Amino acid sequence: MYKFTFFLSVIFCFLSSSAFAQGKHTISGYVKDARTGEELIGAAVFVRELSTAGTFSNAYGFYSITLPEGKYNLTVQFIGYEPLLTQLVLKQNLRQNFSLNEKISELTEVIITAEKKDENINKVQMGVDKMVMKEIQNIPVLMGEKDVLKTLQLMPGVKSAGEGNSGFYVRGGATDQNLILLDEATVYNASHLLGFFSVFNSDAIKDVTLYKGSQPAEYGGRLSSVLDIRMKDGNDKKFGVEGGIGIISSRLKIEGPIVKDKGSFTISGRRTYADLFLKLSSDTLINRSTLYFYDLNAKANYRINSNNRIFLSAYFGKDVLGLADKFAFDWGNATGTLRWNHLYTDKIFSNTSLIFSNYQYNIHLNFGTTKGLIISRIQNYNLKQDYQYFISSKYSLKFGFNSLYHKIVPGLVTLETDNQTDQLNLTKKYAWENAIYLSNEYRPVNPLNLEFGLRLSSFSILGPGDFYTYDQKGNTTLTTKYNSVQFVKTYFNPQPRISVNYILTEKNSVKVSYARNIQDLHLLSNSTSGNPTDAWIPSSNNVKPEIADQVSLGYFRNFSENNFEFSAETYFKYLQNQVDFKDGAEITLNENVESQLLFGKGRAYGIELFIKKKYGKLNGWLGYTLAASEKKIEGINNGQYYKAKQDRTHDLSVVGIYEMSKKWTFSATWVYYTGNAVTFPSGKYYMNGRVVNYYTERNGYRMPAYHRLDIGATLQSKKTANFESSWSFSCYNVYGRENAYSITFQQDPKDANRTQAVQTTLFRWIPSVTYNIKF
Amino acid sequence: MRKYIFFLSAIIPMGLTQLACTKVVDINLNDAAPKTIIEGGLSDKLASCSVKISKTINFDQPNDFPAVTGALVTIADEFGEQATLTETTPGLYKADFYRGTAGKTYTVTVYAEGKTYTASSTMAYPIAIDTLIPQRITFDRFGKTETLNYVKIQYQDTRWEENYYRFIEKINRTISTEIMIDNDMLRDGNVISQQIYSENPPIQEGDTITVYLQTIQKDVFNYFSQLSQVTSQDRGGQSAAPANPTSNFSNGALGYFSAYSVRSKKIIIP
Repeated sequence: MYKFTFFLSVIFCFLSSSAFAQGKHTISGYVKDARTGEELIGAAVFVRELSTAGTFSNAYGFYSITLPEGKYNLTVQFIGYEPLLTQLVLKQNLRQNFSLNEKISELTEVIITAEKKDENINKVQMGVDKMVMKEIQNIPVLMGEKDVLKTLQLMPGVKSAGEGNSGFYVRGGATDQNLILLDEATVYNASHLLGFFSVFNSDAIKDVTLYKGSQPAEYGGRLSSVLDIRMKDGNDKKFGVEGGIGIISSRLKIEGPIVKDKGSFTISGRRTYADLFLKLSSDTLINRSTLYFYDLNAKANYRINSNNRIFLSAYFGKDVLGLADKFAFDWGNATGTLRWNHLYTDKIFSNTSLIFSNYQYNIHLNFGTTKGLIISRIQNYNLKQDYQYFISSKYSLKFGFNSLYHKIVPGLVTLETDNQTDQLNLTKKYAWENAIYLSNEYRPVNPLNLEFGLRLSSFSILGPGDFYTYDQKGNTTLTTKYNSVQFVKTYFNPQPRISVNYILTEKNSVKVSYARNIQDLHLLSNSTSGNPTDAWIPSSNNVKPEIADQVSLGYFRNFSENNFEFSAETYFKYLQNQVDFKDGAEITLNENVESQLLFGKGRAYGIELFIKKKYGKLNGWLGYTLAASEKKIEGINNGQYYKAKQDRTHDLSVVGIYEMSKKWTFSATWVYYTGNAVTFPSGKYYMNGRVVNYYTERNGYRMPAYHRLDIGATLQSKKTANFESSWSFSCYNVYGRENAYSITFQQDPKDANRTQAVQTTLFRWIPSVTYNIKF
Repeated sequence: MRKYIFFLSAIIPMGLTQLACTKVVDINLNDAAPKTIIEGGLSDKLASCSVKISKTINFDQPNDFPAVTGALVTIADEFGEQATLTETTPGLYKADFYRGTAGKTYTVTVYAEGKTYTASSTMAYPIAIDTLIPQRITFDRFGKTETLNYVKIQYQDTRWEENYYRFIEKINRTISTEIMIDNDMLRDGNVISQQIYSENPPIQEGDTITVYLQTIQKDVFNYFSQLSQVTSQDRGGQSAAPANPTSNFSNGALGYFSAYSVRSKKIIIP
């Protein structure tokens, strides 16, 4: 703590010298949606007279620019909104909020010459995908549920983890290497219904930003990416209701002011009713079964005065799967965030957050005389303090700290057989994670933008519990008992990050970045698609923190009046302390699970090409990635490099949206990707009266290539000032491609003397229709 | 315990495949150099010492697995009491008068096609079966009532030691190929009740059922646990990283050698 205070005072001393330079004034405030009062995240505020002066509103919609005295023309803009032009005279510090009006339709768009559309050229950050909820609306998805995670998978460098799966791979990283944050709270499992839906109800979401590995120093904890999702705050002007009724799910949202223009709330819920179809079955086991999920998002905020504001947000979701009275399985996330925004001055913005997240699953078994219960849980409590200091038009600073307490209950098993009760209680894991960071954004000369910073993190494994040491064969050689709050092991890791943007001309720029990321929580998943029961383990005396160093280089260019955006990014990642399983590892509810793991290094590299047409009746994008992801671990594949499961050579997505009229919008997406690297048998033998597959190498084969076309249409059926309704129609996998979900090798049922490969396909032609209302 | 965990990991993919459609596909699999497979066993009963040697073949070939003939196979305990096994049918080597004793460690040495493979195993102490209880359930499956017969085995686990069990079920004269193993995790020292399911062939009224309770070593237990994941009859390949079960033979031979104690009981299904 002393260190940290020292660190702060150094920063303040350093800053005060430049901060109060003479004749300069600050203009600051919030950028909002004019209709709902929602703050807009990442809206551009820039000065026409000074090409270098400009800023973007932060995660709470706040902006601040310091300029010499004078008369300025300011432009404020945000995707999907009419740009706003203001003229102002700056003689003293000014508090100025801007309210932007939503664009009614792209059709009515008038090209405003003042509008700055070349944000991708000017922003320093690279490897960033930002999703605007409006854009997501028209893209067809499985069963008609618009879904941020599914849409993100259409971006280059982001790949679907499989058919209908909300898990994703970023730049050759596994699904657990993505830090998924909902209002800053970690979401450990973002999948519903085994991955067909994500836990993010798009009605409740304001902003989605994905950093593909070169994230600013304020983020940390995962190797591949950070997905920062912010919930809507709610309309602070008037009450509203929005909803939708679909074939397998329905949604409802209510929002409104608590005190007009001062505070608002929003509550949105969603529930699926897929199990209604099960009732139609004649099988008494199936028709008494359950299968559904629900989500509840709630948020409230209140502006105490112009310098203080508080937010409270919560998420709760659950999946329930039951097989009559024999088996019940439920799992879900719960998160809560309490935040306090405070303005120290017009230039210093502070946010303090208290965050809680929890993921758990429960399994009940009932087979007459045998009853069982399995409980598993992962939780964290997090205190996060962020400061943002807008020093001058050239220089701004972010710094802060973060302290997290992790608690993992790997498994508590109770088994009752013939009235005898037995318990298995796997050792609970406790850890304390701390980080301090400093991140600078600096524009020293006109064409050069810099963002550089350092994150210093520590991860301490705490008692109580038994800690094991293993020999090469995985046998326990030493068991050490630790008491409560005793430090078992602490890892310190500095993580430097730097991004440089050099603007070549108005139309093109080159960006370079380097970042180191650390991961201290590791997911053990033994299945291809990911199960709700996959276990998280913390770094320990046996498992070291995973490390990734990524270098990337990108070229960004805009064409024909900024109508087209093009980018090419390449990256190389070097990975250390990677985790994989021993051959035949036993990872389910195993106290000695760490003895089943092997550690080694990895590398991932690739090139991502992206071209987007942003405006006009027809818009959309094309993304292509050529990539590789490999691991080298002693004990697997004879210590040679082998393909990681998520290695995908080619990945192509095409998205097209056509606004035919004010009533009809059509869309189509087509995806193609190389199949995952998998282990198939190269032979067979006879053992114990059965035919057994013989394997020669890990991940030496490929699943067949995957491709699929989806189409969608939206009909705006009614639109008045007080009521809106629309229909969405979509069809998933239009040409019925039988994509392989899994391939298994088995005895030929017709000829016991033969073996065969059998491919399982999940979905062909899934049509859906949803009716949406808003008033 | 193990069974319920297995059930858990099986039920999730199972639910999915109910909705899905399947088809036979042609996958171009590599040819692999043939590998030696050894399946060896010795119990505390007479006529139990046998070693079977064969080879792998390519996946697309018919299931005719070549026997390895003319091998020199010997078995010895830690005190040097040794026997040479004789080849009774191609690839099958036996020493009918060699019998194991619980607590002793046995080593099998196979010299075949110019290579030597060895494996050792310590024979665990026997555990008797207390009772076999016939069980019958009827259930509704897609509107039809079906009956399932099976037996429940009861035995006393030995306290303060990790025990590993393998069950072999004989239905009339057919030995089931089902891999059925268990350990005493969570039930150390208890009277263990365990349902024995072996669906093929289905058990009918009047059938004679014999259950053999083998007490085995941990490495053999692990071998069978891994084997059940890659047996093609059980739709092998569901695991994310399937691999050959860890063999206790040296020099790269696949398979296992198990020294075990065995007790059995018989019942006629009423």
